[in-house]
Amino acid sequence: MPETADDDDLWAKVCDGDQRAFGVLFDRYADLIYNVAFRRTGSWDVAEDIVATVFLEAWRQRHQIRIQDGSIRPWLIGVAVNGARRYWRGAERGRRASLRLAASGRHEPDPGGEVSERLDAERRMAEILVAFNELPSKHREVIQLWAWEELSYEEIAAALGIPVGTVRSRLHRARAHLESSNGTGGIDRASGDDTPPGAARNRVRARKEGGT
Amino acid sequence: MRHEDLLGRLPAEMSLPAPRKERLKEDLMAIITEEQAGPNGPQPSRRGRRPILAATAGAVLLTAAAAWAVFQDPATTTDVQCSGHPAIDETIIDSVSGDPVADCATLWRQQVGEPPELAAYQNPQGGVVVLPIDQSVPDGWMPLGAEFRQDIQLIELEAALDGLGGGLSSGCYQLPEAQEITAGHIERIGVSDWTIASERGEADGETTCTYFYLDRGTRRVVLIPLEGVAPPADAPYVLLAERLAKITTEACLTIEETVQATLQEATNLGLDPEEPHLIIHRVPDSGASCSRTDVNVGGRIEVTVRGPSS
Repeated sequence: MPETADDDDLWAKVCDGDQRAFGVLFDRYADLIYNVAFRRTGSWDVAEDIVATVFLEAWRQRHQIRIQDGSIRPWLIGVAVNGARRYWRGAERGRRASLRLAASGRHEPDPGGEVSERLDAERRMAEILVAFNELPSKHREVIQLWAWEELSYEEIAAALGIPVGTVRSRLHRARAHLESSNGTGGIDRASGDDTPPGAARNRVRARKEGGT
Repeated sequence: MRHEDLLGRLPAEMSLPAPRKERLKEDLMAIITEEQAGPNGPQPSRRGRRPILAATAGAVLLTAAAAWAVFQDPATTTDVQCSGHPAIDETIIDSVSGDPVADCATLWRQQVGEPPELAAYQNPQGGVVVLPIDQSVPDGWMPLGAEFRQDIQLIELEAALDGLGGGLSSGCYQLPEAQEITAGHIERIGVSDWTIASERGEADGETTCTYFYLDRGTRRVVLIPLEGVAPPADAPYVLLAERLAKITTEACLTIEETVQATLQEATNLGLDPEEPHLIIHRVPDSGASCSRTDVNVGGRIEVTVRGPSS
Protein backbone atom coordinates (compact mmCIF):
# COMPACT_ATOMS: atom_id res chain seq x y z
CA MET A 1 0.00 0.00 0.00
CA PRO A 2 1.81 3.19 -1.12
CA GLU A 3 1.99 5.67 1.73
CA THR A 4 1.78 8.53 -0.75
CA ALA A 5 -1.61 7.46 -2.14
CA ASP A 6 -4.33 10.13 -2.08
CA ASP A 7 -6.97 10.07 0.61
CA ASP A 8 -9.57 9.52 -2.09
CA ASP A 9 -7.90 6.34 -3.31
CA LEU A 10 -7.23 5.08 0.18
CA TRP A 11 -10.78 5.81 1.30
CA ALA A 12 -12.22 3.91 -1.66
CA LYS A 13 -10.19 0.90 -0.50
CA VAL A 14 -11.29 1.42 3.11
CA CYS A 15 -14.91 1.34 1.94
CA ASP A 16 -14.14 -2.06 0.43
CA GLY A 17 -12.89 -3.22 3.83
CA ASP A 18 -9.16 -2.77 3.22
CA GLN A 19 -7.53 -2.54 6.65
CA ARG A 20 -4.08 -1.74 5.29
CA ALA A 21 -5.44 1.36 3.58
CA PHE A 22 -7.04 2.34 6.86
CA GLY A 23 -3.68 1.82 8.57
CA VAL A 24 -2.02 4.23 6.13
CA LEU A 25 -4.63 6.87 6.95
CA PHE A 26 -4.12 6.24 10.65
CA ASP A 27 -0.37 6.78 10.26
CA ARG A 28 -1.04 9.92 8.24
CA TYR A 29 -3.48 11.62 10.58
CA ALA A 30 -3.11 10.16 14.09
CA ASP A 31 -0.68 12.86 15.22
CA LEU A 32 -2.84 15.63 13.75
CA ILE A 33 -5.92 14.38 15.60
CA TYR A 34 -3.84 13.90 18.75
CA ASN A 35 -2.93 17.60 18.71
CA VAL A 36 -6.44 18.75 17.73
CA ALA A 37 -7.81 16.84 20.71
CA PHE A 38 -5.10 18.07 23.06
CA ARG A 39 -5.79 21.69 22.14
CA ARG A 40 -9.41 21.27 23.14
CA THR A 41 -9.02 19.20 26.30
CA GLY A 42 -5.60 20.16 27.65
CA SER A 43 -4.80 16.52 28.37
CA TRP A 44 -2.50 14.27 26.37
CA ASP A 45 -4.17 11.19 27.89
CA VAL A 46 -7.63 12.30 26.84
CA ALA A 47 -6.26 13.25 23.44
CA GLU A 48 -4.97 9.71 23.01
CA ASP A 49 -8.39 8.31 23.81
CA ILE A 50 -10.01 10.71 21.36
CA VAL A 51 -7.62 9.55 18.62
CA ALA A 52 -8.87 6.02 19.21
CA THR A 53 -12.53 6.98 19.12
CA VAL A 54 -12.12 9.13 16.01
CA PHE A 55 -10.53 6.35 13.97
CA LEU A 56 -12.90 3.71 15.24
CA GLU A 57 -15.82 5.96 14.28
CA ALA A 58 -14.23 6.60 10.88
CA TRP A 59 -14.08 2.87 10.24
CA ARG A 60 -17.64 2.29 11.39
CA GLN A 61 -19.03 5.17 9.35
CA ARG A 62 -16.86 4.58 6.29
CA HIS A 63 -19.83 4.13 4.00
CA GLN A 64 -21.46 7.38 5.13
CA ILE A 65 -18.43 9.66 4.97
CA ARG A 66 -18.03 12.02 2.04
CA ILE A 67 -14.47 13.11 1.32
CA GLN A 68 -14.16 16.92 1.25
CA ASP A 69 -11.97 18.19 -1.59
CA GLY A 70 -9.98 14.98 -1.71
CA SER A 71 -9.12 14.89 2.00
CA ILE A 72 -10.56 13.02 4.96
CA ARG A 73 -8.90 15.58 7.25
CA PRO A 74 -11.89 17.90 7.87
CA TRP A 75 -14.14 15.00 8.75
CA LEU A 76 -11.62 13.53 11.20
CA ILE A 77 -11.11 16.93 12.82
CA GLY A 78 -14.87 17.40 13.14
CA VAL A 79 -15.22 14.09 14.96
CA ALA A 80 -12.32 15.03 17.24
CA VAL A 81 -14.08 18.30 18.09
CA ASN A 82 -17.21 16.31 18.92
CA GLY A 83 -15.09 14.01 21.06
CA ALA A 84 -13.82 17.01 22.98
CA ARG A 85 -17.41 18.18 23.55
CA ARG A 86 -18.26 14.78 24.96
CA TYR A 87 -15.22 14.95 27.19
CA TRP A 88 -16.32 18.29 28.62
CA ARG A 89 -19.84 17.05 29.24
CA GLY A 90 -18.38 14.16 31.22
CA ALA A 91 -15.93 16.49 32.91
CA GLU A 92 -18.77 18.71 34.14
CA ARG A 93 -20.00 15.86 36.30
CA GLY A 94 -16.83 15.78 38.29
CA ARG A 95 -15.89 19.40 38.10
CA ARG A 96 -14.93 19.97 41.70
CA ALA A 97 -12.87 16.81 42.07
CA SER A 98 -11.14 17.29 38.76
CA LEU A 99 -10.21 20.93 39.16
CA ARG A 100 -6.98 21.60 37.41
CA LEU A 101 -5.48 18.13 37.65
CA ALA A 102 -3.26 18.96 34.76
CA ALA A 103 -2.01 22.14 36.32
CA SER A 104 -1.34 20.34 39.60
CA GLY A 105 1.17 18.08 37.91
CA ARG A 106 -0.55 14.78 38.71
CA HIS A 107 -0.04 12.88 35.52
CA GLU A 108 0.91 9.40 34.49
CA PRO A 109 4.42 9.35 33.08
CA ASP A 110 4.59 8.36 29.44
CA PRO A 111 7.07 5.70 28.43
CA GLY A 112 8.56 7.78 25.63
CA GLY A 113 10.00 10.37 28.01
CA GLU A 114 9.41 14.10 27.41
CA VAL A 115 7.42 14.10 30.62
CA SER A 116 8.29 17.58 31.67
CA GLU A 117 7.69 18.99 28.21
CA ARG A 118 4.26 17.37 28.12
CA LEU A 119 3.39 18.60 31.58
CA ASP A 120 4.44 22.10 30.67
CA ALA A 121 2.30 21.94 27.53
CA GLU A 122 -0.69 20.82 29.60
CA ARG A 123 -0.27 23.71 32.03
CA ARG A 124 -0.03 26.24 29.23
CA MET A 125 -2.95 24.70 27.40
CA ALA A 126 -5.07 24.82 30.57
CA GLU A 127 -4.48 28.57 30.79
CA ILE A 128 -5.38 29.09 27.16
CA LEU A 129 -8.57 27.02 27.47
CA VAL A 130 -9.70 28.93 30.54
CA ALA A 131 -9.23 32.21 28.68
CA PHE A 132 -11.15 30.88 25.68
CA ASN A 133 -14.12 30.06 27.85
CA GLU A 134 -15.42 33.60 27.51
CA LEU A 135 -16.64 32.64 24.04
CA PRO A 136 -19.76 30.57 23.32
CA SER A 137 -18.66 27.09 22.30
CA LYS A 138 -19.86 27.38 18.72
CA HIS A 139 -17.80 30.52 18.18
CA ARG A 140 -14.85 29.02 20.01
CA GLU A 141 -14.86 25.93 17.81
CA VAL A 142 -14.88 27.95 14.61
CA ILE A 143 -12.05 30.27 15.58
CA GLN A 144 -9.95 27.38 16.89
CA LEU A 145 -10.34 25.43 13.64
CA TRP A 146 -9.51 28.54 11.66
CA ALA A 147 -6.55 29.68 13.73
CA TRP A 148 -5.04 26.45 15.02
CA GLU A 149 -5.77 23.90 12.33
CA GLU A 150 -5.82 26.55 9.58
CA LEU A 151 -8.87 25.06 7.91
CA SER A 152 -10.51 27.01 5.12
CA TYR A 153 -14.05 28.27 5.62
CA GLU A 154 -15.33 25.42 3.47
CA GLU A 155 -13.40 22.85 5.50
CA ILE A 156 -14.72 24.29 8.77
CA ALA A 157 -18.24 24.10 7.36
CA ALA A 158 -17.71 20.46 6.51
CA ALA A 159 -16.07 19.67 9.85
CA LEU A 160 -18.88 21.21 11.90
CA GLY A 161 -21.76 20.59 9.49
CA ILE A 162 -22.77 24.23 9.24
CA PRO A 163 -23.17 26.59 6.26
CA VAL A 164 -20.14 28.54 5.09
CA GLY A 165 -21.94 31.82 5.78
CA THR A 166 -22.41 30.75 9.38
CA VAL A 167 -18.69 29.98 9.62
CA ARG A 168 -17.89 33.48 8.42
CA SER A 169 -20.25 35.26 10.77
CA ARG A 170 -19.19 33.17 13.80
CA LEU A 171 -15.53 33.76 13.04
CA HIS A 172 -16.11 37.47 12.71
CA ARG A 173 -17.95 37.58 16.03
CA ALA A 174 -15.34 35.48 17.82
CA ARG A 175 -12.50 37.67 16.59
CA ALA A 176 -14.36 40.85 17.42
CA HIS A 177 -15.16 39.56 20.90
CA LEU A 178 -11.59 38.55 21.64
CA GLU A 179 -10.16 41.77 20.27
CA SER A 180 -12.58 44.04 22.09
CA SER A 181 -12.34 42.39 25.48
CA ASN A 182 -8.84 43.68 26.16
CA GLY A 183 -8.04 45.87 23.22
CA THR A 184 -5.19 43.87 21.77
CA GLY A 185 -4.30 43.61 18.13
CA GLY A 186 -5.50 41.27 15.44
CA ILE A 187 -6.15 37.58 15.90
CA ASP A 188 -3.91 35.54 13.69
CA ARG A 189 -3.38 31.97 12.80
CA ALA A 190 -0.86 29.82 14.63
CA SER A 191 1.52 30.05 11.69
CA GLY A 192 1.57 33.82 11.86
CA ASP A 193 -0.26 34.25 8.55
CA ASP A 194 -1.93 37.63 9.05
CA THR A 195 -4.10 37.57 5.94
CA PRO A 196 -6.14 34.42 6.41
CA PRO A 197 -9.49 35.61 5.08
CA GLY A 198 -7.89 36.63 1.83
CA ALA A 199 -5.89 33.46 1.69
CA ALA A 200 -9.00 31.41 2.29
CA ARG A 201 -10.82 33.41 -0.34
CA ASN A 202 -8.07 32.75 -2.80
CA ARG A 203 -8.19 29.05 -2.08
CA VAL A 204 -11.89 29.13 -2.84
CA ARG A 205 -11.19 30.98 -6.05
CA ALA A 206 -8.52 28.48 -7.03
CA ARG A 207 -10.90 25.61 -6.42
CA LYS A 208 -13.66 27.31 -8.32
CA GLU A 209 -11.38 28.02 -11.25
CA GLY A 210 -10.21 24.44 -11.10
CA GLY A 211 -13.76 23.30 -11.55
CA THR A 212 -14.18 21.68 -8.14
CA MET B 1 -3.37 36.69 28.68
CA ARG B 2 -3.08 38.64 25.46
CA HIS B 3 -5.15 37.36 22.61
CA GLU B 4 -2.20 36.86 20.36
CA ASP B 5 -1.17 34.34 23.00
CA LEU B 6 -4.56 32.66 22.87
CA LEU B 7 -4.30 31.86 19.21
CA GLY B 8 -0.69 32.19 18.29
CA ARG B 9 1.42 30.84 21.14
CA LEU B 10 0.17 27.35 21.50
CA PRO B 11 2.30 24.65 23.01
CA ALA B 12 4.30 23.02 20.24
CA GLU B 13 2.70 20.08 18.52
CA MET B 14 3.84 16.71 19.78
CA SER B 15 3.60 13.25 18.31
CA LEU B 16 1.97 10.31 19.97
CA PRO B 17 4.84 8.44 21.61
CA ALA B 18 5.83 5.76 19.10
CA PRO B 19 5.15 2.72 21.31
CA ARG B 20 1.70 4.06 22.23
CA LYS B 21 0.89 4.88 18.64
CA GLU B 22 1.83 1.38 17.56
CA ARG B 23 -0.19 -0.15 20.36
CA LEU B 24 -3.18 2.03 19.56
CA LYS B 25 -3.04 1.01 15.92
CA GLU B 26 -2.80 -2.66 16.85
CA ASP B 27 -5.82 -2.36 19.13
CA LEU B 28 -7.84 -0.56 16.46
CA MET B 29 -6.98 -3.18 13.88
CA ALA B 30 -7.92 -5.93 16.33
CA ILE B 31 -11.33 -4.35 16.90
CA ILE B 32 -11.85 -3.84 13.19
CA THR B 33 -10.91 -7.44 12.45
CA GLU B 34 -13.27 -8.57 15.16
CA GLU B 35 -16.11 -6.47 13.75
CA GLN B 36 -15.48 -7.65 10.20
CA ALA B 37 -15.46 -11.27 11.31
CA GLY B 38 -18.83 -10.85 13.04
CA PRO B 39 -19.98 -12.61 16.19
CA ASN B 40 -18.99 -16.06 14.91
CA GLY B 41 -15.53 -15.16 13.66
CA PRO B 42 -12.21 -15.70 15.43
CA GLN B 43 -11.89 -13.53 18.52
CA PRO B 44 -8.54 -11.77 18.96
CA SER B 45 -7.06 -11.61 22.41
CA ARG B 46 -8.26 -8.70 24.53
CA ARG B 47 -5.51 -9.21 27.06
CA GLY B 48 -3.82 -5.97 27.91
CA ARG B 49 -5.88 -3.93 25.51
CA ARG B 50 -6.39 -0.37 26.63
CA PRO B 51 -10.09 0.48 27.10
CA ILE B 52 -10.27 2.34 23.85
CA LEU B 53 -13.55 4.15 24.32
CA ALA B 54 -12.98 5.38 27.85
CA ALA B 55 -12.47 8.97 26.84
CA THR B 56 -12.82 10.25 30.36
CA ALA B 57 -9.32 10.14 31.77
CA GLY B 58 -7.60 13.21 33.12
CA ALA B 59 -9.26 16.55 33.36
CA VAL B 60 -8.82 20.25 33.12
CA LEU B 61 -11.68 22.39 34.24
CA LEU B 62 -12.94 25.42 32.48
CA THR B 63 -14.24 28.11 34.77
CA ALA B 64 -17.96 28.81 34.76
CA ALA B 65 -19.27 30.31 31.57
CA ALA B 66 -19.39 34.07 31.36
CA ALA B 67 -22.52 35.49 32.92
CA TRP B 68 -23.87 36.83 29.67
CA ALA B 69 -24.17 33.29 28.39
CA VAL B 70 -25.99 31.85 31.35
CA PHE B 71 -29.27 33.70 31.42
CA GLN B 72 -30.39 33.20 27.86
CA ASP B 73 -33.93 32.10 27.26
CA PRO B 74 -33.65 28.56 25.87
CA ALA B 75 -36.79 29.13 23.79
CA THR B 76 -34.87 31.60 21.64
CA THR B 77 -32.08 29.14 20.80
CA THR B 78 -32.03 27.81 17.26
CA ASP B 79 -29.84 24.75 17.62
CA VAL B 80 -29.69 21.68 19.82
CA GLN B 81 -26.93 19.36 20.96
CA CYS B 82 -27.85 15.69 20.70
CA SER B 83 -25.96 13.35 23.01
CA GLY B 84 -26.03 9.92 24.53
CA HIS B 85 -24.65 7.50 21.94
CA PRO B 86 -21.17 7.18 20.38
CA ALA B 87 -22.63 7.51 16.87
CA ILE B 88 -24.54 10.64 17.86
CA ASP B 89 -21.36 12.02 19.34
CA GLU B 90 -22.46 15.34 20.84
CA THR B 91 -23.58 16.58 17.46
CA ILE B 92 -24.99 20.11 17.37
CA ILE B 93 -27.74 20.39 14.77
CA ASP B 94 -29.81 23.30 13.56
CA SER B 95 -33.25 23.06 15.11
CA VAL B 96 -35.98 22.24 12.64
CA SER B 97 -39.33 21.59 14.28
CA GLY B 98 -39.10 23.59 17.50
CA ASP B 99 -39.21 20.37 19.52
CA PRO B 100 -35.58 19.57 20.35
CA VAL B 101 -36.45 16.04 21.44
CA ALA B 102 -38.11 15.33 18.10
CA ASP B 103 -35.19 16.85 16.19
CA CYS B 104 -32.67 14.71 18.05
CA ALA B 105 -34.89 11.64 17.64
CA THR B 106 -34.66 12.21 13.88
CA LEU B 107 -30.88 12.29 14.14
CA TRP B 108 -30.94 9.04 16.15
CA ARG B 109 -33.02 7.38 13.45
CA GLN B 110 -30.59 8.55 10.78
CA GLN B 111 -27.45 7.52 12.66
CA VAL B 112 -28.38 4.73 15.06
CA GLY B 113 -31.96 3.50 14.88
CA GLU B 114 -35.02 3.97 17.03
CA PRO B 115 -34.04 6.24 19.96
CA PRO B 116 -34.64 5.56 23.63
CA GLU B 117 -36.87 7.97 25.53
CA LEU B 118 -35.21 11.37 25.34
CA ALA B 119 -35.40 14.55 27.41
CA ALA B 120 -34.25 18.14 26.87
CA TYR B 121 -32.10 20.16 29.29
CA GLN B 122 -30.57 23.61 29.42
CA ASN B 123 -26.87 23.47 30.15
CA PRO B 124 -25.05 26.14 32.17
CA GLN B 125 -23.95 27.86 28.96
CA GLY B 126 -27.58 28.44 27.94
CA GLY B 127 -27.62 25.74 25.25
CA VAL B 128 -30.28 23.09 24.76
CA VAL B 129 -29.06 19.50 25.04
CA VAL B 130 -31.06 16.31 24.55
CA LEU B 131 -30.11 13.09 26.35
CA PRO B 132 -31.69 9.68 26.94
CA ILE B 133 -33.67 9.95 30.16
CA ASP B 134 -31.75 7.07 31.75
CA GLN B 135 -28.42 8.89 31.50
CA SER B 136 -27.07 10.89 34.41
CA VAL B 137 -27.27 14.64 34.06
CA PRO B 138 -24.30 16.89 34.88
CA ASP B 139 -24.56 19.33 37.75
CA GLY B 140 -26.16 22.61 36.79
CA TRP B 141 -28.30 21.28 33.97
CA MET B 142 -31.99 22.15 34.15
CA PRO B 143 -34.73 19.91 32.76
CA LEU B 144 -36.86 21.75 30.21
CA GLY B 145 -39.92 19.50 30.32
CA ALA B 146 -41.76 17.65 27.59
CA GLU B 147 -43.73 20.74 26.59
CA PHE B 148 -40.68 22.88 25.97
CA ARG B 149 -40.46 24.31 22.48
CA GLN B 150 -37.94 26.52 20.73
CA ASP B 151 -39.32 29.50 18.84
CA ILE B 152 -40.26 28.03 15.46
CA GLN B 153 -40.34 31.47 13.84
CA LEU B 154 -36.74 32.19 14.83
CA ILE B 155 -35.70 28.78 13.59
CA GLU B 156 -37.30 29.49 10.23
CA LEU B 157 -35.86 33.01 10.10
CA GLU B 158 -32.34 31.68 10.59
CA ALA B 159 -32.83 28.87 8.06
CA ALA B 160 -34.31 31.27 5.52
CA LEU B 161 -31.52 33.84 5.91
CA ASP B 162 -28.93 31.04 5.66
CA GLY B 163 -30.72 29.46 2.73
CA LEU B 164 -29.43 29.08 -0.79
CA GLY B 165 -32.83 29.72 -2.32
CA GLY B 166 -33.56 33.34 -1.50
CA GLY B 167 -31.42 33.76 1.62
CA LEU B 168 -28.17 35.63 2.09
CA SER B 169 -26.25 32.50 1.08
CA SER B 170 -27.88 32.51 -2.35
CA GLY B 171 -25.45 35.11 -3.65
CA CYS B 172 -22.97 37.76 -2.68
CA TYR B 173 -24.96 40.77 -1.56
CA GLN B 174 -23.99 44.30 -0.66
CA LEU B 175 -25.48 45.66 2.54
CA PRO B 176 -28.53 47.43 1.00
CA GLU B 177 -29.55 44.30 -0.89
CA ALA B 178 -29.00 42.19 2.22
CA GLN B 179 -31.19 44.56 4.23
CA GLU B 180 -33.94 44.21 1.67
CA ILE B 181 -33.72 40.41 1.65
CA THR B 182 -33.72 40.30 5.45
CA ALA B 183 -36.70 42.64 5.73
CA GLY B 184 -38.60 40.42 3.32
CA HIS B 185 -38.02 37.32 5.43
CA ILE B 186 -38.88 39.13 8.67
CA GLU B 187 -42.19 40.24 7.20
CA ARG B 188 -43.00 36.87 5.61
CA ILE B 189 -42.28 34.89 8.76
CA GLY B 190 -44.11 37.39 10.94
CA VAL B 191 -41.44 38.33 13.47
CA SER B 192 -42.31 41.99 13.22
CA ASP B 193 -40.62 42.91 16.52
CA TRP B 194 -37.24 41.97 15.04
CA THR B 195 -35.20 44.80 13.56
CA ILE B 196 -32.17 44.94 11.31
CA ALA B 197 -28.81 46.30 12.34
CA SER B 198 -25.34 46.14 10.84
CA GLU B 199 -21.79 45.86 12.09
CA ARG B 200 -18.65 47.04 10.46
CA GLY B 201 -16.98 44.00 8.97
CA GLU B 202 -13.63 43.39 7.35
CA ALA B 203 -14.72 43.75 3.76
CA ASP B 204 -12.13 44.85 1.25
CA GLY B 205 -14.67 46.55 -1.00
CA GLU B 206 -13.89 44.23 -3.85
CA THR B 207 -15.53 40.97 -2.89
CA THR B 208 -17.93 42.04 -0.18
CA CYS B 209 -20.71 39.67 0.76
CA THR B 210 -23.05 40.24 3.66
CA TYR B 211 -23.44 37.62 6.38
CA PHE B 212 -25.62 37.71 9.47
CA TYR B 213 -26.31 36.51 12.97
CA LEU B 214 -29.36 36.65 15.17
CA ASP B 215 -28.87 38.76 18.29
CA ARG B 216 -31.45 37.09 20.49
CA GLY B 217 -31.00 39.50 23.38
CA THR B 218 -31.95 42.58 21.39
CA ARG B 219 -34.07 40.76 18.77
CA ARG B 220 -32.04 42.07 15.88
CA VAL B 221 -30.72 40.49 12.73
CA VAL B 222 -27.19 41.84 12.57
CA LEU B 223 -25.70 42.07 9.10
CA ILE B 224 -21.93 42.05 8.59
CA PRO B 225 -20.20 42.85 5.30
CA LEU B 226 -17.22 40.53 5.00
CA GLU B 227 -14.86 39.35 2.35
CA GLY B 228 -16.47 36.47 0.60
CA VAL B 229 -17.47 34.74 -2.57
CA ALA B 230 -20.81 33.94 -4.09
CA PRO B 231 -21.75 30.28 -4.14
CA PRO B 232 -20.89 28.67 -7.48
CA ALA B 233 -23.95 29.31 -9.64
CA ASP B 234 -23.69 25.93 -11.35
CA ALA B 235 -23.31 23.83 -8.20
CA PRO B 236 -26.07 21.20 -8.08
CA TYR B 237 -27.17 22.23 -4.60
CA VAL B 238 -27.53 25.86 -5.69
CA LEU B 239 -29.56 24.77 -8.70
CA LEU B 240 -31.68 22.55 -6.46
CA ALA B 241 -32.45 25.50 -4.19
CA GLU B 242 -33.38 27.70 -7.15
CA ARG B 243 -35.63 25.07 -8.70
CA LEU B 244 -37.42 24.37 -5.44
CA ALA B 245 -37.98 28.08 -4.88
CA LYS B 246 -39.48 28.32 -8.37
CA ILE B 247 -41.64 25.22 -7.97
CA THR B 248 -43.09 26.31 -4.65
CA THR B 249 -43.74 29.81 -5.96
CA GLU B 250 -45.55 28.62 -9.06
CA ALA B 251 -47.63 25.87 -7.46
CA CYS B 252 -49.36 25.39 -4.13
CA LEU B 253 -48.10 22.04 -2.87
CA THR B 254 -48.47 19.95 0.27
CA ILE B 255 -45.41 18.81 2.18
CA GLU B 256 -45.37 15.38 0.55
CA GLU B 257 -45.82 16.82 -2.93
CA THR B 258 -42.88 19.12 -2.27
CA VAL B 259 -40.79 16.23 -0.95
CA GLN B 260 -41.48 14.25 -4.12
CA ALA B 261 -40.54 17.27 -6.23
CA THR B 262 -37.32 17.61 -4.22
CA LEU B 263 -36.37 13.98 -4.80
CA GLN B 264 -37.11 14.28 -8.49
CA GLU B 265 -35.13 17.50 -8.93
CA ALA B 266 -32.20 16.12 -6.92
CA THR B 267 -32.10 13.05 -9.15
CA ASN B 268 -32.32 15.21 -12.28
CA LEU B 269 -29.32 17.22 -11.06
CA GLY B 270 -27.25 14.11 -10.47
CA LEU B 271 -27.40 14.36 -6.68
CA ASP B 272 -27.68 11.26 -4.54
CA PRO B 273 -31.23 11.56 -3.17
CA GLU B 274 -30.57 9.10 -0.34
CA GLU B 275 -29.63 9.93 3.23
CA PRO B 276 -27.11 10.91 4.47
CA HIS B 277 -26.27 12.84 1.29
CA LEU B 278 -29.65 14.55 1.08
CA ILE B 279 -31.67 15.09 4.23
CA ILE B 280 -35.27 16.22 3.91
CA HIS B 281 -37.04 17.61 6.98
CA ARG B 282 -40.83 17.80 7.05
CA VAL B 283 -42.28 20.49 9.34
CA PRO B 284 -46.09 20.59 9.33
CA ASP B 285 -47.53 24.10 9.46
CA SER B 286 -51.28 23.89 9.78
CA GLY B 287 -51.63 27.65 9.30
CA ALA B 288 -50.06 27.58 5.85
CA SER B 289 -51.95 26.82 2.65
CA CYS B 290 -48.85 26.05 0.53
CA SER B 291 -45.39 24.63 1.22
CA ARG B 292 -42.11 26.51 1.24
CA THR B 293 -38.51 25.23 1.33
CA ASP B 294 -35.13 26.20 2.73
CA VAL B 295 -31.99 24.57 1.37
CA ASN B 296 -28.81 24.64 3.44
CA VAL B 297 -25.44 23.05 2.84
CA GLY B 298 -22.90 22.20 5.50
CA GLY B 299 -21.11 19.03 4.52
CA ARG B 300 -24.42 17.63 3.29
CA ILE B 301 -27.54 19.03 1.69
CA GLU B 302 -30.52 19.64 3.96
CA VAL B 303 -33.91 20.63 2.62
CA THR B 304 -36.55 21.76 5.09
CA VAL B 305 -40.10 21.68 3.81
CA ARG B 306 -42.67 23.61 5.84
CA GLY B 307 -46.34 23.65 4.98
CA PRO B 308 -49.67 21.84 5.10
CA SER B 309 -49.70 18.08 5.55
CA SER B 310 -52.57 17.68 3.14
